[in-house]
Amino acid sequence: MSVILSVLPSCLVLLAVLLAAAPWGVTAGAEFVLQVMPYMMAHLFLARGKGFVPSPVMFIAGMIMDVASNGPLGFWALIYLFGVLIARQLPDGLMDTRMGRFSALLLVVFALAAAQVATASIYLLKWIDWHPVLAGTLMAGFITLLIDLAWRDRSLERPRNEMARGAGNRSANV
Amino acid sequence: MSTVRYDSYTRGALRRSTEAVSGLHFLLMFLAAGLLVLTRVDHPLVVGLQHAGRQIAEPVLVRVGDLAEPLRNFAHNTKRYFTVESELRRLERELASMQHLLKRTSSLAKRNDELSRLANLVRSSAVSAVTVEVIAGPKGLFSKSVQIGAGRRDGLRYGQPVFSGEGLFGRIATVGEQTASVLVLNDINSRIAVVVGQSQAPALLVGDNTERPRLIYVDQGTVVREGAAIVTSGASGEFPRGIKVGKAMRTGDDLRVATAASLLAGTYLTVLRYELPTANLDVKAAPEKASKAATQVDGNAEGSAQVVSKSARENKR
Repeated sequence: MSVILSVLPSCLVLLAVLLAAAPWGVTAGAEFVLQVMPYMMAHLFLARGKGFVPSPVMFIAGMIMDVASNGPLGFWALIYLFGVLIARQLPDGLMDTRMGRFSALLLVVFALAAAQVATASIYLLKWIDWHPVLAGTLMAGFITLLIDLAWRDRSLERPRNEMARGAGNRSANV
Repeated sequence: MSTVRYDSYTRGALRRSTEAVSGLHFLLMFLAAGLLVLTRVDHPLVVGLQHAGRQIAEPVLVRVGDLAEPLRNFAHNTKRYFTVESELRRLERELASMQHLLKRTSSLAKRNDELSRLANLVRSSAVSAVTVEVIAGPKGLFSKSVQIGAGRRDGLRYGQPVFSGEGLFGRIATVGEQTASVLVLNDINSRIAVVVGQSQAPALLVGDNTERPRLIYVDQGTVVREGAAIVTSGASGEFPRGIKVGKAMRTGDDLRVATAASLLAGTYLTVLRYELPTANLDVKAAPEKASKAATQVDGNAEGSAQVVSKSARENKR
């Protein structure tokens, strides 16, 4: 079971890459959301402390995204790895509360958008339009936030139940 | 006791053990940055890697694309449902104008045939078209190219023009055995030789990753009116002359083109299986002249092809 849980984040990230690369026929601009989603999956697991995606997996995910999107090799690999680097530098206590996770997510979203714009501008040797990038990354962050809110944390619920049971037992003993 | 057990379930302890950023992470970041630089300078190693990667990814993308088809159709149909009335009116107007054009075209075709017969005109070979499915759309900041599910085995070659709807969409940029990538008109790497309006003034259509590609190198004396028709000039020899591209428009000081074809790739595209005028030349017949001429134009494939064609013609004479 623990083996499955340890490889689950990596598998989900790779699945997210494949889904993001598929021709969904979505409206223009949606690619800016889809391409960030693989990182967001990794971020979600990291923030929840449910495991983490190893750097080589993030690198491979980025490379697959680069190939699938006909973009320059290394761009998404660099952005994903940069995102992980930022997320891992955040203070430990920040991720323990919803508000803390939200702040961390917001910070990472802005860092990712800035990294995308900066790297793309340097690559193309011209200043690119940052609006769709920021909008897409914010939207991806919003989706991640919704998943985070919907994610029931059983690790917090279980002890509470046990506490209740313990209290019940104690009262029974008394 | 229960409180102690509760503490053992907090996330902090679990996460801390995983958060150390290893040297491998920085090494991979460095590798990614290196690959990005090599891609920028079109290093053959990276080009080969990209090509090999696409060949591997292609079957998987096709499968995922098949899975996505119902959703794609649903989105497409929903969009059509809301625009069906306006679409119907547009089609009615179009039909009326087409019927008028059909009468005119048939009389012109007859006249053209007669004149061609009188002039003893030798016609160029017929050009066939193939409709192909888009398997990956334009994505992200860089690439405005799309991946199509047909390749060399379907008769696709480098440089062939690609259409979507009512006009030119782009051209084939790379060809694999079963897939090819199409460089869209607004891609930053796209350059198409065109002519503007009735004056047929030559210009260059240049993509800059925006919706409306730029029109540059228009003669200073040429007055380009808003809405002037832009068609391919055929000057580079890559495209046939007269393919509809769009209409000229002014954006501030810039001359731009509102393309006739939507540059957002739909589900299908049409590739014109047009052979480059130089493709069938027997270069072996004129080895010396051809090689001399080819070396004059260093590294420019298009240029060297034109030069080879010239020397081959000279040899024929």
